[in-house]
Amino acid sequence: MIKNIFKKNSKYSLLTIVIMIILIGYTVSLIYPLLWGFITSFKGTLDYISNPIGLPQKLAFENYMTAYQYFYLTVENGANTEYIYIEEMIMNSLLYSVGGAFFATFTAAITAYATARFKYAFSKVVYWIVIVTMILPIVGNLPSEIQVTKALGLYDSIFGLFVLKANFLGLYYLVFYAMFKAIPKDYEDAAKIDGASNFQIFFRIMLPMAKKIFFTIMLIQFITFWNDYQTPLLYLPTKPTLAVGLFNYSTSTINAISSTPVKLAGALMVFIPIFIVFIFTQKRLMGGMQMGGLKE
Amino acid sequence: MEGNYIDRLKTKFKREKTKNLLFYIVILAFPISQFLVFYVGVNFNSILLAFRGYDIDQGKFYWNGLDNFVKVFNDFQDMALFEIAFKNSIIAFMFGLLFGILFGLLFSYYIYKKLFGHKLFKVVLFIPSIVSSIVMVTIFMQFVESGIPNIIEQIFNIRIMGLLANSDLTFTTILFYNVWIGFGVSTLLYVGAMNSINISIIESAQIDGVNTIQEFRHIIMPLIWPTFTQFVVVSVGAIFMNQLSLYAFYGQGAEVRLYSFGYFLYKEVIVAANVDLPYLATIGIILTFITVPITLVIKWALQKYGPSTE
Repeated sequence: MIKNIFKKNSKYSLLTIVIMIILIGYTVSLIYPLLWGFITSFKGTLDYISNPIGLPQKLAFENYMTAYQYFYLTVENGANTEYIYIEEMIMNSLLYSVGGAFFATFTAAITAYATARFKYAFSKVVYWIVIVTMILPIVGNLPSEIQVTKALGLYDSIFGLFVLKANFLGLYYLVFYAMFKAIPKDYEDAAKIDGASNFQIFFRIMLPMAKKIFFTIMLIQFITFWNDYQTPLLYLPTKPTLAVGLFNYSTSTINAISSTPVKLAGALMVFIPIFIVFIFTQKRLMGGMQMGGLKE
Repeated sequence: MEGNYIDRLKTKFKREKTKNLLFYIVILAFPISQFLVFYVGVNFNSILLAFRGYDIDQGKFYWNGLDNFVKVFNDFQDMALFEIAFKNSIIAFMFGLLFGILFGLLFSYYIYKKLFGHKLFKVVLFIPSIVSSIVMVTIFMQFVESGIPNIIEQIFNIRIMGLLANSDLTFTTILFYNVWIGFGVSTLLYVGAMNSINISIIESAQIDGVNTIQEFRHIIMPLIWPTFTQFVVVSVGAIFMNQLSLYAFYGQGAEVRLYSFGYFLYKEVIVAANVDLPYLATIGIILTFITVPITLVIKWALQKYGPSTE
């Protein structure tokens, strides 16, 4: 077979065949544990011990019920101890992910628009700030960030996290910058002749032109924030998100959720919704993001 | 009459300029304030914190000169933890550079060439990027700790320890995990860079009879060198920020022999009281001072000595 591939198509060589074998190995190494995890999450504990590889003898949906039941955590709110259940965590996750993704994307977009379209010296300064901060590593500024967040009353507030995350630094600014820079000035001039203000030009002409990029970046940010457990763990002590709940669940030593199938059921409960989002949006997500822009 | 017209034009132009400036100021007000507070302010405060102590009785910060630096340098010498964290951070960086970047490039080349199964591989490589690290770690952990030993016992009738439980394999398993999940974004960006190469360059090289290794080495690599440089620079900059996913694996309880600086700083900050913040900020400052020159030198070297596109 390999010989045939070599003969038929010059694109195949020893190098590409080796890469193909490694990629097949990688795919198996990634898909098999995920599949194994999915199948195992439907096994009873005894079924799993006697049959760790095969299909479940009987589908143990109760693993998911147990996971759902124990998917809670306690938080200290002043003198009170509160129980936070999965529904509240989902709400917190949605708020944090949608809001955080929107504000982060919007901030990058407006900054890129202003600096790409208005030729003030300050625009160049902002551009170089982005470049330099991407190269310059700052290690361990978390203690200071927490102090500043607390001082500004943004600690333990989802709105506070929106503000914290709404920065223009990083790759997405450059993506928007390249996009806005490439739009001909004629659009702006024509709108101005028709009496449009700068705000109208931005919101009714420029932003709609960038909506595909805007949506793609917001989607990437949404997934990042949905999966992020470290920021909420640090900044939202009384408003845990689903990712924080899962962290707590996976490290919990409660007996009822200590078995492998029940642990996996909890993990998959969180994984499946985002996997469905991925299936429906994967073309857009992987549509060819480049350092200098997005391919349309 | 004509003078009036010119004056009106001048006024209109001036009004337009003022409107533009006002719009510019309004639209940038929030992003710049956010940057000034959460980047400039936070990092400036980090420097100040490094020169302060905290009086628990009075509940106030006070200046304490270089005390924090002296303490940190003494701890660097006396405490094995820092030596381990330093060593592990460097090993993780080298491991990531060798396997992560190398395989990332090769996988991207394969996808770029649109060879057998490239669409599937592209999706598979991206999956870990969309799955929560806690989900990935939970599945991976259960698989290597419970799944693999059970499977091996059932097939070969041999009992082995879990890969993480076996102390000889724990760190290697964690290094493997971090490379294993890390191909998604890099592959997308490398493929993006490769796709922007002018196809006529590749075609003319193929007419000249270059093989795939020559094509990859002498055409693809030089042309995507800026993207490659950016990746290496970002990796170097993140040497002491890499947590190795240890918090997802162990929470606060990772063994000291597995520590990286990224993990140590995050785990300490999570439980830190005001009194601990200056010490941690000092460690951050020292690590930043170590990382910045290394990053800049490597960036310069990669740009100066990188392959030529001539």
